[in-house]
Amino acid sequence: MMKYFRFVFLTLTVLAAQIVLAQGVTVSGNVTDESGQPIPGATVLVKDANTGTTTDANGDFRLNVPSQESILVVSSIGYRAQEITVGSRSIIDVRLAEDVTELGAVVVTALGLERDKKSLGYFAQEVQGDELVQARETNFLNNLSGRVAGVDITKTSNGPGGSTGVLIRGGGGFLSGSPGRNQPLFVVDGIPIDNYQTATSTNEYGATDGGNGAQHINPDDIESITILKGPEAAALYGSRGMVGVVQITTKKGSQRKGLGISYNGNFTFENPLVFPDMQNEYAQGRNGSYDVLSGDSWGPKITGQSVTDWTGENNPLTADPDDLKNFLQTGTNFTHSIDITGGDENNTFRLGVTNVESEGMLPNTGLTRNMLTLRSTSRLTDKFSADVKLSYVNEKVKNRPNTSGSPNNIFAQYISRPRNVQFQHLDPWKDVSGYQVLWRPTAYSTLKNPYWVLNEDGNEDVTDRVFSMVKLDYRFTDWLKGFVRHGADFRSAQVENISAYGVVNPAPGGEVNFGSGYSASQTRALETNIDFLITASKTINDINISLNFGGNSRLNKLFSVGGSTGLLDLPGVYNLGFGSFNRPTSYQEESRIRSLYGFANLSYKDYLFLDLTYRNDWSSNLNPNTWSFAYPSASASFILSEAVSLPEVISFAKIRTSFSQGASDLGPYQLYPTYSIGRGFLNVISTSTPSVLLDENIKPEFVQSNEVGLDMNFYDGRVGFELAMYSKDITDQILDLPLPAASGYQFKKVNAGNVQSKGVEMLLTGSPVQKQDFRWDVTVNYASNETRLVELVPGVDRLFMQSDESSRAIRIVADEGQLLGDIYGRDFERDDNGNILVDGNGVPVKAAEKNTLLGNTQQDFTMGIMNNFTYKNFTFGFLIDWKQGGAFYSQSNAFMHAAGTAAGTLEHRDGGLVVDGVTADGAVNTTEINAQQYWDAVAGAEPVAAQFIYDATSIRLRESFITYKLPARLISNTPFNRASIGITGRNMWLIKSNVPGIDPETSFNVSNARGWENGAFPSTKVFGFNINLGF
Amino acid sequence: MRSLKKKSIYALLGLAAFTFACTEGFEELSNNPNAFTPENVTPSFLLADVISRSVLDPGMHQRMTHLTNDVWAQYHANEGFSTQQGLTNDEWVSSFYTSYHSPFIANLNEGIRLGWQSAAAGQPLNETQIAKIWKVWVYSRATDLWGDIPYFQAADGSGANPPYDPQELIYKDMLAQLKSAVDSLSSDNPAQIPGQDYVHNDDIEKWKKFANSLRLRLALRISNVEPGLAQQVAEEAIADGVMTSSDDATTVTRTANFGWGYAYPYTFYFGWGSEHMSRSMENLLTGLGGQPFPNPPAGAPVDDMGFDLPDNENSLDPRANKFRLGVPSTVDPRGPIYFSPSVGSAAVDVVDKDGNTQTVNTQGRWVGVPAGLGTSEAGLPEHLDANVSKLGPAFSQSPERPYEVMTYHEVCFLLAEAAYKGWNVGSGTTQQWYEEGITASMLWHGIDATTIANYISSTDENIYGTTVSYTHDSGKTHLGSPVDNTLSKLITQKYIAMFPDGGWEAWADHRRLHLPVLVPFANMDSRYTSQDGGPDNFPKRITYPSVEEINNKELYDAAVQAQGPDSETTNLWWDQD
Repeated sequence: MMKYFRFVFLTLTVLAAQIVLAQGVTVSGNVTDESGQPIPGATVLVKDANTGTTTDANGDFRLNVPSQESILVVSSIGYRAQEITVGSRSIIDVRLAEDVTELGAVVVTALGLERDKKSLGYFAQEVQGDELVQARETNFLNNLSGRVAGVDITKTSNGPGGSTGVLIRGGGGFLSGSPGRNQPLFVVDGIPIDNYQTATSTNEYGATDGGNGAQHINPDDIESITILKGPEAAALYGSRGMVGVVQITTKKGSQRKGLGISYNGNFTFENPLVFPDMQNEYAQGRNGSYDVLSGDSWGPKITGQSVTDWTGENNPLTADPDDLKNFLQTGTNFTHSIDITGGDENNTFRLGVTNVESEGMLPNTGLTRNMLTLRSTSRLTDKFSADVKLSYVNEKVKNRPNTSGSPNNIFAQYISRPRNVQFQHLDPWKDVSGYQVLWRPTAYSTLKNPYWVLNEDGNEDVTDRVFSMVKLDYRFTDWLKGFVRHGADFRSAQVENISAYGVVNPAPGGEVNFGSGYSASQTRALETNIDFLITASKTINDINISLNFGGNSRLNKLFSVGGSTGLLDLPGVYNLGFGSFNRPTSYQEESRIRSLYGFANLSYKDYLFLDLTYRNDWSSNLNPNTWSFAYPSASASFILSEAVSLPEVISFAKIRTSFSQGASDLGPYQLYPTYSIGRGFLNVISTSTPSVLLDENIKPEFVQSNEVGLDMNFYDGRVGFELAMYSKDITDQILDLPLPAASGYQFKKVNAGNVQSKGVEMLLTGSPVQKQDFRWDVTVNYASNETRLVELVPGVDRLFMQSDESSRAIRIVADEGQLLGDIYGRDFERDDNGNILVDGNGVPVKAAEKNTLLGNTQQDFTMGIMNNFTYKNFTFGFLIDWKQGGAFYSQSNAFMHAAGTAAGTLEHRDGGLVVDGVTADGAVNTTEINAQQYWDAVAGAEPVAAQFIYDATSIRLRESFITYKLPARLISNTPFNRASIGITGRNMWLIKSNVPGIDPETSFNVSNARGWENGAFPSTKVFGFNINLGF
Repeated sequence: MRSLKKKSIYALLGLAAFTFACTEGFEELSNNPNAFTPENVTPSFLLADVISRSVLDPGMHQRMTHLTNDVWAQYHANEGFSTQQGLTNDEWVSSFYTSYHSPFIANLNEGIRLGWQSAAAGQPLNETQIAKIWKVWVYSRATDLWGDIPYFQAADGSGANPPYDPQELIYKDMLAQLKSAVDSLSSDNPAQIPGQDYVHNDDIEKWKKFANSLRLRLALRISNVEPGLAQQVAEEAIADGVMTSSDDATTVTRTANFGWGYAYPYTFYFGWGSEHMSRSMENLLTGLGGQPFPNPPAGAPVDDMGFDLPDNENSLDPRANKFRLGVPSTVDPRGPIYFSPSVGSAAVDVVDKDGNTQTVNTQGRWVGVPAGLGTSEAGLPEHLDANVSKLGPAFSQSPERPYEVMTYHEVCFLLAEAAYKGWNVGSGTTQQWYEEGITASMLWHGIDATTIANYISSTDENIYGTTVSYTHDSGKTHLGSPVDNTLSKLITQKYIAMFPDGGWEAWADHRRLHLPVLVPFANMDSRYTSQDGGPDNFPKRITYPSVEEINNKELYDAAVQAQGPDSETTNLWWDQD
């Protein structure tokens, strides 16, 4: 590994120092849009030569061309490309017209190849890098929310550095497999990046969320993102592209005079968007009586009376509506980013440095992230060029919040704590002996003092990550070229967890060190990819043919060591060698996939396009009979508007269709049975039989997708739409099928099932107003997707997407013939007519089992509406994000109602509640009960889930911003040549939601079993400032 | 430049070749470096795993031992789950049923198979026989929960789906397996890996005694339905040699703080607001044997008569609907070891029968909780975790206390019952074994000889009227049954002696003999037809996991057809009433 980095560094140094004598003619110029605004990053290429550059931040370029006959091709995404013969000029200014017809648009597709968008036979949507840094979040994936049709972003609400899930077209519909398989592949400049997942626990008892891997990509480096939604991506990326690819292109340096330096500062502040809906009228206790030992708020009405409280002192009872608000601080996220570029006609470089300091809303939590990227491109000879990049990320996260039902989840504890016991009362959190002070000492194993959690317990992780890329391009002749590329993604992470010494059991003889411990681990993970591609292209008459042949060799390695102490021997000493039960652990993994592929792009007269691909993979995770597998794809598009004459109003029309297949292997070590190794009681060697019956002849699973689409523009591009309809079948899925337990195995690994996703996506663009000074652009994206388990295995018609024990309230299942993600839970016990049964006391009876279908987690549709207004130097925009439908289960509300802390428990405190139901003998119920009796029976850990299931529809103002670009005259006397300031907001307004006190977007995991929360960290609204300066 | 071009072409070709060598090195990568391959495995490793798990796996211990058997035996009450209404918790049962087959039974069968291979190769292993014994112990627990279960073809390594087998055949085979294991165990066979046997430390005689004692236990279990076979097996087992002292006890000593699931579970449950003394325990222990309550908490009232509470408990309980403070003056000496007085609070508001609020000091209460409380009653101050008596520190705070699989004092009570039935127990009478059982139990808990002697001769009655003295009969009855005759005394003492790990036996004895007298469950689910303390008021089995009905319908239906409805109220083969 070190050897490799040394090579990269050497290359970088050599390239940066290289001076190549200029030959031919030098031209320079400036590229602007039609309104005269400079276009940074525009590409200026010399036609038929392997040379070119990009414009700097001011739109300037400088380039050496072979001769006066040379033709410059100037292009930029979103603009119509222009060809200009150099002639005798040395200064060439170019004004590019906007290309709403997408005729000239270029998108980055599989393997990092640039393609004309018009030629694509599938729907590929782009997001520009600057859209991601306007209103930043620590995980830039959140900034994609609402922007792309069919891409659903789920933020886990787990504080700075928490995970964000990306589900493309419903997540693909994998029934099992490694965690996070529903997540797309991330590819940066053609190199796959490990988007490792940690928020995979679907368990109500709690976990921590260590974030997801893709957030280490620096959004400041990003030029653009192309989302490849279908397995067209898989056709060339293989298995991991089966649920889509997020294809990221990063910035390069550009040829210019002197250095181009720019600075971006982003300062945001976050506060809860919604607070749990609490009552503030009744105190601790039950049956209307104050009870200092009770964990509930079914006590007396608070009238200022004094009681002997848990401190043993007499104090007046109070409730504070702002208890949580006062405890939390304003979260901050400060980002400074500097971008330095430079270059001449042969060499360019770019240095990007970004520093992120983030403090969470919970005191003593936060994230620091430093990112550095150095990239250099170099034309070594006429035919030979190199592109080298090295990125380094260092991230430190302190006290990631515990999620779900963990005693260390401060929110889960807060929502059921008696209303008269407030945060302020719990500080100081330790006594003179250093032991935890708890408001309900006997519950020492299920409750924790929040200040103890934040100040004594804790966790910290430090991640170092290096991404590297070396790409060497060679142009053999004018029709034959090739490249070789090496990419590495190396991660080293250390994680520490502390449960402090001093949790006391108050019983006689009780321990003083309950559940303490220290654990630490160190993980090294490496993925390398070496690929090459040879391209031959030829134009014969009206036909253009490009034939490509390439290969890839991928290596994945993981090694981790760690350990835990058991109970701590002493307070404050955190050392793996010091504890009651020291246990070291280690784990390692290695696998390889090698691939060869070929593809052909054919076009006729620039209006008929055909792409064909074929890929063969060899995987070390399969056996010699199965480890080779191949899959093809084909796509075609026809540009009607070019081929035939259409009515004037239609400026562009294209129909397209694609068909593709993909295949995927399974993780390492799943072919042959192995027995776990362990040390049991008294340190004896202990092992057990495997729980999964393996099949060494397991085949790769298989995906097949079809897509048709229509793209149209009207009125010279003032209005346009893109439409896609697709279906996708994932068959022969490698899954762990439950076996009847008495077989001695819990599961059998099989190839089975067919999960089908079908959907429609639409992108509407329009410019209702286009005036000299004022412009209004609207983009609407819409997507609906249905993922259904079409077929499982004969005799089995249900799979659990979440282990049945993960939640005592619900189970999320896949039933044959049904949509994936049905939520089952308890209902009330009902008679044959559906009436709720009540017992002899008038209390409703809850069903014994979780067998009532309560809803499905899939959304009906998602829609994003982006509005952009430009008036002179002002830009104003806002994004509305609408998610319609889907069921959402709130365990927090179940606990709050059981504990009597929910505002919903205020009614009928003194009785008078007659449940609308019947008694066992069929008579209409007339018995009055009170709220406590009702919620005792209905809420809690095993509630009548039907009572706490909601429609997850939400409409929110996802993003809004105003930017002011300072006019040139204002900054003419400053060192800046460009300056703008902006005000941004994210998630500022939850316009519609049906869930009381909880954001329906809340989740603590990114697995397939979504659609429920437990002890949710409130989602946040973010407000901030943005400054851009160019030197 | 030319050389550069050449080089780059070579580089390209080289890379292509590298990629072409597509599967070079793949075979080695398929070996998992993190685990054993089958050739590394021995019966001894498999046994080590299954013994710890089958005792302390959370599926086994928390869900089945603590929250099902212990609640239905009324070792504890008000543990906060619907089992206290006599309902099976489907998730727990699913989890247990699964872990019971894989890895428990799968491990044991694999160990037995490997043992046969070894024997065929000329080296018989004691580990094979130990696996057979342990398999019977595990299976006896499972069949006593469900009745008919897959047995003969279960977890045989093929992955095939076995049918359910009748409990009668299972019992008969278990007895045969134990006999064959006892006959095959030999001190001549060296331990496969010395030091791996953390139960009996390679003492083969102790394994034999355990197997014979287990035969005695199972023989008495079936004595109502197969009296002839039961007597024959019991007499044979006794002749072969059962445990003769507490040194022979089969226990599993854990390592302190092994992590959730394998750490000493009572420390967890304790902190979760569990481990309350049941009212039945309070009633049985209070006054029994006439020994003074040792070290009563300072200031705690003694023999407080209490004040009346609203009528929300089952009034068939002699101590129902009273709020009592403090401790009783006399008690079974094991009582205060088993259960500590409440932590409580100086001022707690309790609403009395007349609706008046009484502020009381709930510190130092030695009281239990009635069985079968509904959710609302469970949350009343008189039953709240902090205000009632809970598991004592000798259990709740002692992570290294051994788990009792089978004790000598249990064997004494089994011998006493066998003698009472007129079976040949070798030496000793019913009375001798009864008193030996009490003595062994009390010594086990560190009680001094004088107290034991006083206790054994005491004619002091507990709340029901049961006494200790073998020769005394108070003549009292409860709910129509005598409470102080020989069998009643015997099972009462066995019930008390086997606390806290003997909930399985206590529930089985109660199903078989309806002894000892327990508080009737209140608020039972509607499938129970009475709340009068009779047999129909108590659970008889647990239901099969509901997933069996989905994933294994044909065989499940056949089992239900053979055994009767899949309900908690269906009798097992050995429990006919």
